[in-house]
Amino acid sequence: MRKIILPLFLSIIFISESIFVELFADDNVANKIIYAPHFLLISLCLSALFINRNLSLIYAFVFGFIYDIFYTDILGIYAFLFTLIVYLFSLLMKALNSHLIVVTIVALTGIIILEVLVYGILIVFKDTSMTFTIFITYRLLPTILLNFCFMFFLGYLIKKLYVYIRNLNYTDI
Amino acid sequence: MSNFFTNKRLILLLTSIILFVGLIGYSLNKRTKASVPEKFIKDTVGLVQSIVHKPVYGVKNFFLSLNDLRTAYEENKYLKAKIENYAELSVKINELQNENEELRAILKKTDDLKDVSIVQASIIARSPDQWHDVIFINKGKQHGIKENMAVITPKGLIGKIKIVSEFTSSVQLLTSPERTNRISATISGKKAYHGLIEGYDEGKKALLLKKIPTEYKVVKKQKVITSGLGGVFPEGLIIGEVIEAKPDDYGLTQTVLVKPLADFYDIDNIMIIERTMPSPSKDILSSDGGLE
Repeated sequence: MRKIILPLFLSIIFISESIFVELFADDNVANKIIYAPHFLLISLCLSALFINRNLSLIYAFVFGFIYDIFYTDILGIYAFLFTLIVYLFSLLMKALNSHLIVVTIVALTGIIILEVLVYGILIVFKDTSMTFTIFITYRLLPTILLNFCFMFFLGYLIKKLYVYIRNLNYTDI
Repeated sequence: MSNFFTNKRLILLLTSIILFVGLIGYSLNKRTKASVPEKFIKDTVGLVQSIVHKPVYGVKNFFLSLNDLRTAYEENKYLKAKIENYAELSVKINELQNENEELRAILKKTDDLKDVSIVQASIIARSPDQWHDVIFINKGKQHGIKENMAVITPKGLIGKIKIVSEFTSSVQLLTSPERTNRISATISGKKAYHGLIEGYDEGKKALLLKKIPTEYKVVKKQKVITSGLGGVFPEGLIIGEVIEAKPDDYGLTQTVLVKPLADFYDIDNIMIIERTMPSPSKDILSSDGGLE
């Protein structure tokens, strides 16, 4: 039971990203603005903090790899970056208070790092023609705003769920 | 931070970076073929996505149709006015079709770049990172889908099949910025002019149709269709309408901005088009690849 809850939850989040884009990506409303959901990364970061770091690193790699295979077809980008960012996140959170506001700020910083690194990689491979200023204004800022909203509305619930899962673990052992 | 660069971690970091670069290199090399484990994961994720997607899309469509109700009255008036011309037009089309068939029979020309076979499919997912304009559909190799087939909605061309797996495949939309995204197209008019669709202008929301001769005066609202000369696409799929023309960097040819007629966001059901006329073999096409 306890082993299944976390991967199941992460799978739901994984699919919800695609559904979110399908439902809300509408070029009439947001003419040029792109907002990319990174709910999966947020959930992974929180699980590293509230449940277990090493387990979360493994999940970060696995889900990142599935993400690469299914969505991007350039293997390794998200698998590597998800793992890196979850690692950096947990490293930083060791030194910081785990209040939800602090967690939100650090997780959003992680998303900024992810976006900038992916942009850099795509520029190197000439896979995008977006200029840096357009990237910042039309992509990075809306993305941060969207993920902030996600944290604002669901962060507390996810934390509750994770604390519940962790307590399950203790009683099982 | 002091224990960050201990031997074990440093080695782990270095090996993972090497692995990372190796993987990227590997996946950049092969563009259209997916390996067996990849296909397995694609199909599994695709199956789950398609199960979840159906009810979600039902809800979305419900709200969209509520929105449609508001404009229904205006639309009805407009369509009634239009339908009067329709009868006349359909008679004309019938006549022309018959005449065309007769002439073909006389010429003994049976195959045509316009002949196609159609597979229906629906969308199961859209790439959430939105760097690559890619959508995923619920038909794959088992349903006869192959790489580089044209994908259309009733309104017009939206893209081509990028990667095929057994039960799902991915579609690269016309708006995708990748270099391999090129389509041989024609501006339909008294005299057809062929050009290449290369790239997408994000600001103007228009496709760039390049290499049209400067002496050709392009008129607004002219239709742009696929030419079928690229080898894989059939002839006559509607792409969009001309908005404006401007001379290219060297002034020898002009670049025409084409507004795509299909909606790239509100897509539900799509059709995959295979032309029945055989394509030239890969060796004849330029090694640059990806030209449709």
